[in-house]
Amino acid sequence: MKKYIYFLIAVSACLFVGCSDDDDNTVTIDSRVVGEWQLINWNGDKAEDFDVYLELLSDGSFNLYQRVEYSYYEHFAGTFSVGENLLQGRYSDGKPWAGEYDYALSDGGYTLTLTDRKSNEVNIYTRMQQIPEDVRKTSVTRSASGRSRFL
Amino acid sequence: MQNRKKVLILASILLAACATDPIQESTDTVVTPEETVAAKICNTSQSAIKGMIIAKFNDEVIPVLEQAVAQQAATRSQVTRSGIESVDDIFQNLDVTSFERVFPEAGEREPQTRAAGLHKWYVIYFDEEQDLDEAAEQLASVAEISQIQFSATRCKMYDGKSYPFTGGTPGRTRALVTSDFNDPNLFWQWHYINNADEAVAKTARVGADINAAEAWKMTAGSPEVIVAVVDEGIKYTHPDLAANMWTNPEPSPEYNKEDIHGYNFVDGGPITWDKRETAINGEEVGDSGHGTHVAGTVAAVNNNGIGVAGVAGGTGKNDGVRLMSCQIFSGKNSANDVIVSRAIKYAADHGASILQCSYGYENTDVSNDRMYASRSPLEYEALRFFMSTSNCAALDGGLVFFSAGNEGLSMASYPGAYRECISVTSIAPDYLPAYYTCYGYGCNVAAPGGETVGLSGGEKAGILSTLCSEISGEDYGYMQGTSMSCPHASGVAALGLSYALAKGKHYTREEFISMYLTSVNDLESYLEGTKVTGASLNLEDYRGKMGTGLIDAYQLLMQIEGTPCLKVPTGELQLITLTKYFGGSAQNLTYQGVEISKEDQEKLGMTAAPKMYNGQLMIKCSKPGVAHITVKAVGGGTRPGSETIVGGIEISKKFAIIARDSGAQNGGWL
Repeated sequence: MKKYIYFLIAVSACLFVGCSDDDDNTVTIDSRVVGEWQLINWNGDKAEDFDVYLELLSDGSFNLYQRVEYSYYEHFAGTFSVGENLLQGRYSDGKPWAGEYDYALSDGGYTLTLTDRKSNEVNIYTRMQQIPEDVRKTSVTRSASGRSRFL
Repeated sequence: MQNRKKVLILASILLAACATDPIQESTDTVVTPEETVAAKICNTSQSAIKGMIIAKFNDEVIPVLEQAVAQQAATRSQVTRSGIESVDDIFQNLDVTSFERVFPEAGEREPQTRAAGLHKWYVIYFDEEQDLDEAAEQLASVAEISQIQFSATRCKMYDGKSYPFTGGTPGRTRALVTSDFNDPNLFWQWHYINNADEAVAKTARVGADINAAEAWKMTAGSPEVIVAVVDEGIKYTHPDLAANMWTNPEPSPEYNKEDIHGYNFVDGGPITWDKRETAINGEEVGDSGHGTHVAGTVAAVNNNGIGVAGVAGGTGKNDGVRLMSCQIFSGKNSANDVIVSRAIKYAADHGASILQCSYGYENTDVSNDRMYASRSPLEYEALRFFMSTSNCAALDGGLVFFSAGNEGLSMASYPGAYRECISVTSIAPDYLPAYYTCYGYGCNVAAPGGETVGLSGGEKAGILSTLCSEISGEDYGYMQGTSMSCPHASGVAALGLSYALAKGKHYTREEFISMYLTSVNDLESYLEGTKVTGASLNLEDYRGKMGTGLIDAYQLLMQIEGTPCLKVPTGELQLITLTKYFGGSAQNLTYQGVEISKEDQEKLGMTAAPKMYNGQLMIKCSKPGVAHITVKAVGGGTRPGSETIVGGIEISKKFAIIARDSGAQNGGWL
């Protein structure tokens, strides 16, 4: 009896798998912009007083970790797309990126330069092997931080 | 005999008149010998301990003095002569019974001791019947002595009344902030986590605490940070304190090797905490458990399954800050200048980076720093020595905390009012000033000190900490006072240093104090109307006078984490409240100015220099870029302290401005 039930469960599971949506909106970004980046220069200023880490994933999602306006790292996520020399994206809260960026890769793909088409702000990122683990771990998703009492 | 004394005094005065005295060097006016003598005597004999006088000798006689003292020490039980003829004549006349350095040989710290001139201070003992003023005049008349000080009494800044903890039934609460620590009585420590439990007080307010729960997620202390509790002796065997007691790795021969967890500077021996006796009027006098209560607030062992929590008591893994007991009260015996100064110096020499003090003058009209420095030079120099001694890798120097006082006066008590000390006022669980707290000039920050009478919860609105069962019958209980708010403040500083060590950060004293005094929550918005508990208070009288605000441990740790940038959109005039940099009271602080270089102004296209306007930064940038700005404010009150004016500590905060044309609506960089 038990074997029969297990068999039914296994068959059901296979059916579920079979029903999965093969033709959904899965995106595969085949671009050298995919990777983990650290902002090193903004508009000619070294990024010394603030930290920005950007992770662009091949599935079209991104993670942004920044320590700019707070003492701790904020985490933003969302999706991005790559056109011909154009990088644009949208945060998971529906807000669009502030700009649409022309991008250029240099130094054998180790430097990514994003130039805002509207404001002409220039952001230079360097490729890194890995965004520091403690940045990921300690970051706070801003909308969920609930830290109104604090800084 | 009297005539002989008079002749000697006269002869000494004449001798002094012939000698070159540094005091006279800079003056063109003629100074009489009597004036010279008077100028050398720092204070009055009122409230002074009989049978002793403190003297500071001139540099050039120190070698002779030290040689004579060493020779006598080798052959006699007591040193009674200085080796300086003019001084020894007076010593003979006074029947001096012993003579010693105020600060004993300091081993490794001896070079620093000498550099600070502390080796020049000696204490002279004689019969208690000897008239102190007469002795002072005689000693001041010799050229080899530059300063004479009576050893003035210091008093406990508290009544020592405690209420043993006997449990309780929680009431309705308005918040449910909790900590993971398993100390069973932490629930009743509203001063760490205030959930506005009605059993504490019906008027209790959420957040009237030091915000410990959030801070403890980041750090709960470090054994590398030592807090010296200058107070009654700490019961170092207390089950909730023993693991966090500092233990001297090398007890010193200067202290008969009895300085294990600190030292009893009153009786000269091991620490005591339970000396009580019945006075003639039948009243019980003596130790109250005060030092043990204060110590428990700083660092009762956390998460050990018993009793209470301490602000920086660790996580139960032997990682709390360490408590050094510098005992200055013992039984009915009071402290005095020699005792407190030795205690402070000992703390500096033995690794403390924070000094926690709840004592003050008995009667004093000291009303500014210059007066304090000139009347209590010994203690002043000891405090300066502590502040300039670096015992923690995260800080250049030491931090000194004093309770503001419990007399409800509109000025902090000295020594705490000295502008280099942090003077702590007290609030109750209702987020309002405690009825007894001193406030006003010289006060720098507020912390919970509780009220054991007047609020609906009775003693539960006081501060719950460790007590001496020998005195109170229980190991835990409630007390109130700025004595209780002060260890919250020093405990938060200890947490800050612990976190800075963990992060590899290093600060100057000024930088750390600036961060500390701006890690606060606003009190001003609550100061309306009246409050009636132990006294009737017009709350508006306290506006701007409780210090920069209510200390918040989490905010301090976040400041140590890093200084955030100020993002400013280009092309628009902005008025920005600087809460991120100056804490919850940012809009109510007195600002001293804004500094930015010409180059940075041009870089961001500023046509006018930024300035503070109604407590806000007024700034307009027309070009994108990064620049640096420094904003200065007063830490406590409306004016900075100076030698002659009691006031706040100057705070300086430097941070980066990022002017941007664009930016996502949610604050994201992209």
